[in-house]
Amino acid sequence: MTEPVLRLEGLTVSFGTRRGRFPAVEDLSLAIAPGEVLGLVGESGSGKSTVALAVMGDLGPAGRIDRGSLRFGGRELAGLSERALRPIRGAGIAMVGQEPMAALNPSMRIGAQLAEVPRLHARVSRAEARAAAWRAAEEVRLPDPERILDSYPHQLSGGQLQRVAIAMALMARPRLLILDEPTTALDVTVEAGIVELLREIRQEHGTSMLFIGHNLALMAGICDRIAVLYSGRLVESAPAPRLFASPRHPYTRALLRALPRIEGARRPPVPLAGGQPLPHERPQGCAFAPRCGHAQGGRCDVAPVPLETAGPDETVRCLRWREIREQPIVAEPLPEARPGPAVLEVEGLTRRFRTARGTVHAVEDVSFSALEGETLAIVGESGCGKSTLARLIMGLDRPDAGRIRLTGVEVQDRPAGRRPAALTAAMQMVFQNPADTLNPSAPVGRQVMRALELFQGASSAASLRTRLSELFGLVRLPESLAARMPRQLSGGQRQRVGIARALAGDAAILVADEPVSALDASVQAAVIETLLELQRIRRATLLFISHDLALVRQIADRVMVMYLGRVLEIGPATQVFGPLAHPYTRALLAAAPRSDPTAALRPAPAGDPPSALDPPSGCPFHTRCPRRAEVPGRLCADRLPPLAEVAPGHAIRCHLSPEELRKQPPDEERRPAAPLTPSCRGAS
Amino acid sequence: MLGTALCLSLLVFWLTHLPPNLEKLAKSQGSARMSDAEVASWLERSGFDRPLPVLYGEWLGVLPRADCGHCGVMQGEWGQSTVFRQPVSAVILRSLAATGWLMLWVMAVMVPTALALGALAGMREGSRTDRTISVATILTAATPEYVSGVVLVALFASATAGLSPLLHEAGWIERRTLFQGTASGAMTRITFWNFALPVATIALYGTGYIARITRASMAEVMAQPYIRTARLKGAGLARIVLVHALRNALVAPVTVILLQLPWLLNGVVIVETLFAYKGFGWTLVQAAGNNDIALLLGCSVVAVTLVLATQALSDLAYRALNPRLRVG
Repeated sequence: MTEPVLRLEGLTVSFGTRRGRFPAVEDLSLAIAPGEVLGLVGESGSGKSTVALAVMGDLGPAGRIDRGSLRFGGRELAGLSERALRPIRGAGIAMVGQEPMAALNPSMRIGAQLAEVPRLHARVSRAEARAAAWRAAEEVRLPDPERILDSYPHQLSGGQLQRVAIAMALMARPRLLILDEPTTALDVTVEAGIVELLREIRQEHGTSMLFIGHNLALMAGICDRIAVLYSGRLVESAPAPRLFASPRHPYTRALLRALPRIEGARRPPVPLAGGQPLPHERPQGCAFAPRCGHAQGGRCDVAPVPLETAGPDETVRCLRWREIREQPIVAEPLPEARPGPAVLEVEGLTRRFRTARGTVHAVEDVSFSALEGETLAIVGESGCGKSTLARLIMGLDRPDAGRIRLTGVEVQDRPAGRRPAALTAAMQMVFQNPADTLNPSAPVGRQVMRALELFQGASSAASLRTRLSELFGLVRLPESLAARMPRQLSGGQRQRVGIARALAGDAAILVADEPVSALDASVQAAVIETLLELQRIRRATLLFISHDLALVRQIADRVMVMYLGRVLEIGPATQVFGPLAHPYTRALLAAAPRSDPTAALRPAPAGDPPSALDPPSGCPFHTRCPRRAEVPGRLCADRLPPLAEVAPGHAIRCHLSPEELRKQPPDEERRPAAPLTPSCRGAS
Repeated sequence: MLGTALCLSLLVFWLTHLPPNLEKLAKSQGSARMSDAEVASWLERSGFDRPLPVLYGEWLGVLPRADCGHCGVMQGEWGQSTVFRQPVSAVILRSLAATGWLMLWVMAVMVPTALALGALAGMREGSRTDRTISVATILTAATPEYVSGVVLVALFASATAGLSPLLHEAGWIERRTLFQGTASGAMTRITFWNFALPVATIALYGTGYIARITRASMAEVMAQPYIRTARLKGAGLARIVLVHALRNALVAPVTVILLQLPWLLNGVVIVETLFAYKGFGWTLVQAAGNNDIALLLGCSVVAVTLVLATQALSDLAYRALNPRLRVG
């Protein structure tokens, strides 16, 4: 075997806090072979980013490598001085982070930021550096490099910025590329494009990669090997196909069950109870034991569990892995929804924003209705108008045209503050980021109580308190947490508080705007479970706004697909995800990552959606539509197709006839019969 | 902006034309023993008994005056100063020129020092350099001019206290004091010895304040992911600070510095009085103390214009430093 590009041995990294030093990563051993892509999976707080920073030698003043070695191409990195690290950073190991917007200097042009790399690592002239920047921009398939190089970061989209960040990382031809959640902040379609780009880079340059993330489905598409980190310790590592086919560690199994799966129609993700222990609260034995269904008292919680070799290139840290092989991995399907009468009717809703640079068509002529007790998912890329639609429905913004009827009452002209309390109570919102929507300086119980007082003001204090504890029970929060401040709760707990608050007025409609996209996979599943259970118990209507098609497929009864402010398709989930669907819906589905490393690669729709400032004429999707050629003449560019019913309750906005649309086989049938072998293990 | 200027000048005009003030004016111009009836007739003769809007209009120059037609502020006729027995415009021009020199030196000392100290402190938050600079800047920012001025005079410009007697006895200085306690000599010729103390007094406070803001802004920028990006590109600390951090960190302090300009006027009033430097602040104090309405109004017009001009300037500077605010 050749010398690995990176070899970590017994790496232990600790951080100093007010309460002492705590290890963030303990005794980690990993190796990345030349040309190999290693995935490092873990939830937030598992220490995965610490590994990346330790490799880059950028732990900050509080962090310290206590033990172990980090060898990069045979050279020890631990203990190197800042000065000695500089030539390695960028030229030897490069890193791409999570937030491309934040990672680029806002007051420097892209070209200057790119050109800095060759200027730093190879003594080249300004002109040569500029030319190198140009080539780099082209290499990551940035359209119109000249314009991009002259732009400031705020003038580009998130996807373009991440390409710039990747171009910057690749400029000095590093042997190892560290990617720390490179697509978390991006849309599915853009994400698919970035993953495709990374695959190409690996093929062209043989760059080794350390791909850090929490989304196993995404990693399935690119990683050769996957290492799972839990509470700072490696719990399992195996080649990717093996890991997905037969995970060994109970935590890996739980992660896979909690994963939204595009192929799991109407089977919601299975939650994993509890949370990861903080570094100073780690239990005696196996760190996962308190959450593990297989843990045995007196065995798993006694002494630290050693890492065992389970096969060639496979390790697992579990005492019982041999005993717990078989287990069903999918959840029970959701019961069929029994929707009642329409509680929310929207007709011809339009909202345009006039800005200095023109009019933004945020929502254009949107009509739909939501029925009692159903989950209606609203999906689309960022900028499609789904959040504006939610704001309009909630009365946080006024439409320019159209009607909104809430339980039969027209409310479009009444802002939320001037609606009768009963109507406000009937429709509540669960926000994307629970940390930002709770008052940071009031106990969470007090905040839910405030909502109760507002909506049920007539009740006595005692009955309000009973209601409060009922609500906490409903969202499965221990009542003892009511006295805590939001910052003392975990992300999942905060989102439950947000749900409890929304339920205070016995809401008939819950508008959930990306309620779980800021949460870890296992926590996501738990919050989803709570929402669905509430809906079953209370027959509430759930408007579930999301860009995660896998999740939508698992839980939605009906789906509405939006693009640049317009509805492109609406219908029952089984049909929208079936053989007859809009080309855009298809493209979104194709772009969703699937948790199966053997799945065939699907082309994502090219590029970013056009700007809502200047929407294309005719069908808004025609500029990216893969099936445009099948429509004769300039019909797509000239005329907006009507939203035509193709089956009862299922409407599609496309010039192609239902028969033509149906011709393309559904994506399930496009899978290859024989699993593809991953292409890149040859190097080691 | 014009509206703001009009409103503010009207406010000052109204305050100076309140009846008690006019009575005082009559008594100081006529005789202190005037009876109420005499005061009324004096006011009538001088035209002060007419309604306020008419008086204001005449002063502005939009309404014609009996003696000279349209002759008000807008026509450049600022009236006659009663204290200096000179046209107001001449008095103000002279005092502004004097204050201009003071401000120039204050800025020349304050801005580079403050930015350098702030950047140095914010570069490595929590380091020893940071803590030393922070303590020093908090101290100076917490000391008002009337305190620091007096302390400086006592330390460096007193024949009986501070350093000067010691130095004089040791024979290191010829004069009785190290610095001069008055800056009146600087009206004709500015030297280090007569100008250093007034400049230092104003600059001390401002330096502390601006350095604090620069430090906070620098520390925030140094924690940004793009600074990590630069570090992980292999850039050295000097390059990171100069190329990547400084420009982004300067946005806040530069706006503050420009907003600081009119605020300096405030310090100028105290310092010029303390050091007997006949600049704008000193003139303002004289005008107010002697109920010189025309001069007082003239001063306020100049002050208001200055404030509004610097506000506009700071918006422009903000835009220049922050490309996100540029259109396109």
